[in-house]
Amino acid sequence: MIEGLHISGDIGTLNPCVCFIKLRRCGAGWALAFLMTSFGVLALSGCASQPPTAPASQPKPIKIDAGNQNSSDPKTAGQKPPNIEDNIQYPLIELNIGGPLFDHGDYFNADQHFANATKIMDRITGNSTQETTAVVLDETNKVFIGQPYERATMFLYRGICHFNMGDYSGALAAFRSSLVANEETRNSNDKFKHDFTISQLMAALCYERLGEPENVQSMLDLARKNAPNPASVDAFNVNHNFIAVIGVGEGPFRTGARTFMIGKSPEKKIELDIDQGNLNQPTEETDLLFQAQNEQWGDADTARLARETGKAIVSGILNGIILAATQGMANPNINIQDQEDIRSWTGLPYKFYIFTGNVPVGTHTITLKAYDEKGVALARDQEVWFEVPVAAQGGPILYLRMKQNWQNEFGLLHVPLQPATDATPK
Amino acid sequence: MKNARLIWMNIHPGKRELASLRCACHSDDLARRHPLEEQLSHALPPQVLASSGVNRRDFIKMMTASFGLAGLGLASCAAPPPEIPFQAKSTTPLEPVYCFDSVGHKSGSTPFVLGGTCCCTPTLQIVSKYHADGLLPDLQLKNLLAIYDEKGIKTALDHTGCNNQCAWGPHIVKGGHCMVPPTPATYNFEEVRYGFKLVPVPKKQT
Repeated sequence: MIEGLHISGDIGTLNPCVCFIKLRRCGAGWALAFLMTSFGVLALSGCASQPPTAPASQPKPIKIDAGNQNSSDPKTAGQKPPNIEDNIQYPLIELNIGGPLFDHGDYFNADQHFANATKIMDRITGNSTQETTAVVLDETNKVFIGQPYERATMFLYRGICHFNMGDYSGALAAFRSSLVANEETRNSNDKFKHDFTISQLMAALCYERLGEPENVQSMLDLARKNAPNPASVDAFNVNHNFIAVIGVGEGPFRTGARTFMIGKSPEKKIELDIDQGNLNQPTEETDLLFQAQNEQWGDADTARLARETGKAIVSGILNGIILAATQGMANPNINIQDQEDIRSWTGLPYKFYIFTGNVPVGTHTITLKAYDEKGVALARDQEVWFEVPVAAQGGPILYLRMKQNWQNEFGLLHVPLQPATDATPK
Repeated sequence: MKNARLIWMNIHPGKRELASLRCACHSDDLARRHPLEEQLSHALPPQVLASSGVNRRDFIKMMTASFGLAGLGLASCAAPPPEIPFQAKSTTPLEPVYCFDSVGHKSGSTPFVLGGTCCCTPTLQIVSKYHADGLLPDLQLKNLLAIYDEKGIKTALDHTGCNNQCAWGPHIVKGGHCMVPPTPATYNFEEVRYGFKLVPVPKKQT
């Protein structure tokens, strides 16, 4: 960097070093320059008052509607509209739309968005230009295909969607796809290869609904063998009539190479209260941050090494070309840096808990309580749901989302519905 | 080199030892020239060459320290993010208004499309429950289905799992055309069940 500045400073017409040497010779010295720069920047940024309240610029919406057949622009009016699936952010957009829909119980539309994302993420043949660019230059130019933990979670969600819509075969396929996606997540001893336990338990549940008890047992045995905490598997019973999956906290997101962080997730202990008095302890099944941090040993890491090797080779070739072209010049240092892809699916939970139990048939008030490491109840994390129906058998998987302020009703009023005028049908 | 030493000693006349040490380092830096400069020296105008040999490394250090200090000042001036006001959801349920499949039919209620509060999926079983309650004795299932068709209302017989957020949504009690039972443990479920909606408090009241 200093070398680059050195050369450009000599050749360029605006040379900051000329100003600097004049400043030194006039006797002001280091201290004056130092203070001037410091106070100048402080005045410009730190202590400056707020800017005038001009109308804030609205964030530009991400355009995924690529049709321009009706465009009034004569330059583009006759052109073939670009395919929206060629947008490199398309799978990520679909995931970010599908996630909230799933959290709010819209399983049909959530599954549609996840299916759209899957179609692109699983596409074998990609855009060759994007692929090449991702290999030699910038990973962010590639179509978003997600990390293994994101793909495993997406298939887990799809499985719950299909299960709750009565499609047990489709749900089983999704849960097994989740386990396949998780195979990228492992350490050097393959220890964590099959530890996405929640999908194994859900697959066992599907086998039970499909009437295949042998497969139920084999899947539970597999889960018990691979689970980080085998005792958690023992608490799971496919024959219970109340099955709840709880997504807790704000999940992992990438901040750099092999670096993941989580949002606010102070929940250290979870309790599920049925009808305000019957306290139960859900069991932790899957830690998404742990899954994310272990994927460095999977095939994804091999791809990373290959990409960095490719960049080193290209750097060497470019160095040779420049060296030949500028014979006599020393150190033409062309080093192609690896641009980290920090795109990630936001809104995922930090951990998944499961609770199964035999609950009387009818409707019940379900309360989720959270406590921090000191045992203090977290009021902002508490969830309460009224009249949750429980059937004798064949009931759905109840998905409960727990995170801070999820049920914050500050500034909201309960207004009685007026059916005739409240909403206009779409 | 002499000029640099004289300038430094004029600024700090009492620190000769330190000054000589620093000048030695400084003169070494000044003497260092990039090979490219050597090659280009005959091709560049004199005003450009006049600036060559300046110790830019120290200049970069100074600028870095300045911006670091400015950043510290900026961080100290910034106010901490305000905490979001919080009001917990009441743990007492409201009075149920509408009934639908997952919570069971409420005895004595009539179909919503006929002015009642029943949003159960139209089946023979439901029609027989109306008759058992002594309500709508002439109503037949085909007539009820025809009414739904006429009004463009989609039921769980057509699709499911949408939580009333489909193209026909919202729920008919909210003025939409979807009568699929809402997904339990969601706000939509409770809004339909208890017949309310959450709206922001007007600004004057807050």
